[in-house]
Amino acid sequence: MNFKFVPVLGVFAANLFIYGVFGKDPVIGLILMVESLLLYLSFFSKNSLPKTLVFLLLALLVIISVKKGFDGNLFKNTFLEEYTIFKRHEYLAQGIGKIYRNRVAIFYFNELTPILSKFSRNLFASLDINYLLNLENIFSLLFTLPFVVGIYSLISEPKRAVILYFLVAFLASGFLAQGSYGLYLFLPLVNLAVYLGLDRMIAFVRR
Amino acid sequence: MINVRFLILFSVVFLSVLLRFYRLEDVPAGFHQDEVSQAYNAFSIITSGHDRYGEYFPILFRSFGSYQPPVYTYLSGIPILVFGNTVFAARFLSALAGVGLVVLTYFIVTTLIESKYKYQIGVLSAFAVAISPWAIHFSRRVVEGNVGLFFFMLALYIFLLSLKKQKLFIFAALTLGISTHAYYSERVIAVLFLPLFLFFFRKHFLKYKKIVSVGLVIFAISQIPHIWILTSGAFARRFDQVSYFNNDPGDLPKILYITREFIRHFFIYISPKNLFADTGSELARVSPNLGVFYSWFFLPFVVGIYYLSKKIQGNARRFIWVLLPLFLVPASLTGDVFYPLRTLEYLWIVSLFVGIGILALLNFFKRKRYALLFLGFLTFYSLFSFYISYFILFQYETSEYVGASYIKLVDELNNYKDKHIVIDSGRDFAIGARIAYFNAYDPNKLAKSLRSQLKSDYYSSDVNLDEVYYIDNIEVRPTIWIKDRCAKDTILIGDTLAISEEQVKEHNLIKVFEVETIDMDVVLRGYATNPPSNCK
Repeated sequence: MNFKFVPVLGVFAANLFIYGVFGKDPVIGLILMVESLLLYLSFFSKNSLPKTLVFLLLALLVIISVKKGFDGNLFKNTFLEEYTIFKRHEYLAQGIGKIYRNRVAIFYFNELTPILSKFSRNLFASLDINYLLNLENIFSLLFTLPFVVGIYSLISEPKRAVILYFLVAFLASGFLAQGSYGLYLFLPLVNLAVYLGLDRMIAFVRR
Repeated sequence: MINVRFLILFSVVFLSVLLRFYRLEDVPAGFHQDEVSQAYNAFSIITSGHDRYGEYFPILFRSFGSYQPPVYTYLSGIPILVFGNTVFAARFLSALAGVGLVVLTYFIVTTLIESKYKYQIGVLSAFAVAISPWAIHFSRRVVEGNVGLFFFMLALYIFLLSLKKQKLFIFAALTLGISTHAYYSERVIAVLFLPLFLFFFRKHFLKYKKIVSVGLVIFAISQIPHIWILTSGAFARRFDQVSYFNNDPGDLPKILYITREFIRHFFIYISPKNLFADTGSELARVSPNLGVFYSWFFLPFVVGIYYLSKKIQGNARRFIWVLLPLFLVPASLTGDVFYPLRTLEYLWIVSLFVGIGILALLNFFKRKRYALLFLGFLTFYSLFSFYISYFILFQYETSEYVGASYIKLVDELNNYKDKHIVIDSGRDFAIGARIAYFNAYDPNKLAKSLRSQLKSDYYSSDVNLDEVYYIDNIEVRPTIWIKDRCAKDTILIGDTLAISEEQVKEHNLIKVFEVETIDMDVVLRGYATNPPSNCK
């Protein structure tokens, strides 16, 4: 495999999202660029070293993200959330009677469900393509079609390293506050998808 | 084998009937302004031939600052005639269309997909539609979009059948034409779909040019009502209200701004965040703690994409991929952040992927019994969560936004037929329409008073909202204190914003009744006037 480092780095550098990351946290920005390159290498190379390095660096990213971006509200309710739980306590007591009025159900609805709801919302909060591609910026629109083609390629030709990367980033993002570090974890995947999409589109045109 | 297949399909359809018709009268609570507008107009049409403004058989129904497409209203007259002026009767058609969609899903999938698993995919896709929150939610309200979806899917099915029996193309074109009068999204989708379908299967249809031409003429004829009002302002009124085309583009050239907004909104609907997570509980969304799909549908959705790309061959795969972006065009033209009602066809396609993915996952497991048991557990948990969210939390948390207390008020007003009633309409335009509907008020009398209040032609881009309803002894309008405080034998009704404690004291009003919400908070109060001696 002929590794096309220049075009690959070019695609990664053209993703404007990374500049916002550099602005907030240059160390994370640098790690994400290296991770993007490693993920690209692990996708195309049969060598196991890039795959190992990808997950070592991902572990580091997850640790930094959890340290800096942990969702403090995950296990703690705001005043509004407490009020909502209080009101819903009445609604549920009236609505399902004995099914609710016992310790297990009250624990499930008042303690567990709020945590699961917030965790679920955090999980999917990072899967917002508008943010991942920074579509507010006109220039970013050029990457939308390659991104779609790339995602289709990643799903229709799945590689274990990519699936595992996605799963780890997805689960980790459940513990992170919405809007920043969760999105950062997905950036290498986005870069890979865009590069792959461009590669497929160019190959198609050349045919 | 065939009996087992139909038994399973019957079970899925039965489940869909249960989920859509159980407590349809009171879940969701209340009667939204769009619902009651459709309902009263349907009652008015079936009894008098005109809508509540006296317009005979309108092409679009004027309603609260905008227009409603006509198909739902015209068809709803039948259940209203059968069941009376009830919430159930008004919602019946939407629920029926929802069940119809589940059945159609099975037949569309088994007709479209060539695979040894097509029957299983058909059943599982129908199952995904049957239990998906979006499909249940939009079947349980008066939602013309749900009927539009049904007619479009029916047209799609007949189009697919026409690949074997060509004459059916004409009926398909007619059904497609009807769908454009059912909801706004179908106006756009139908016009894009028809040439796309012909192009996709051009090798086949080029042999039957006569039939295709007749079908196209039939479709064109079905668009005459739209062309008739094209320049009136009414045709594009809703689009003007919701699109970003007239927004300030800032520093960008207009064309670039529109392109950016189109692509941005397109990707809003593709983002898993908005499909599989709770996006908030505003009215156009579903209900608390639920997205348009259950979160666990994400896995079969992704697997479904894989399975479709690898295992489903031929035209079906390409056709489904072509339909997916097409179905997002209407919603992408509008400025709302996430408005599922405009993307029902797209949500249907996502359900199709979920059905395919569930099959792929079931086939992955060697011990099918355990896999099916696990699927059963997930289904039970999902429906339990849906029940809690929709039948309990949604009820309590949104009932007052949709006038639930005004439905109770209708019964209370029967005790005061000898009094003059004034109901404050400051925050809810639909109070008068609700009272008219539940009292089956004479459409001719209502039309006489409402028609005179129109400030523009019936079909116009300028649609006034300030209307006063006169229904026998009842007036529904903003309170005019200088006049109302002096009225004798009058009861003033309103919430605490309309009639505050200070106003009660100032005008010496006497409380005669209260109306509570479903969680026992007092929302409306009726006060008898007590005119002072200095009243003229």
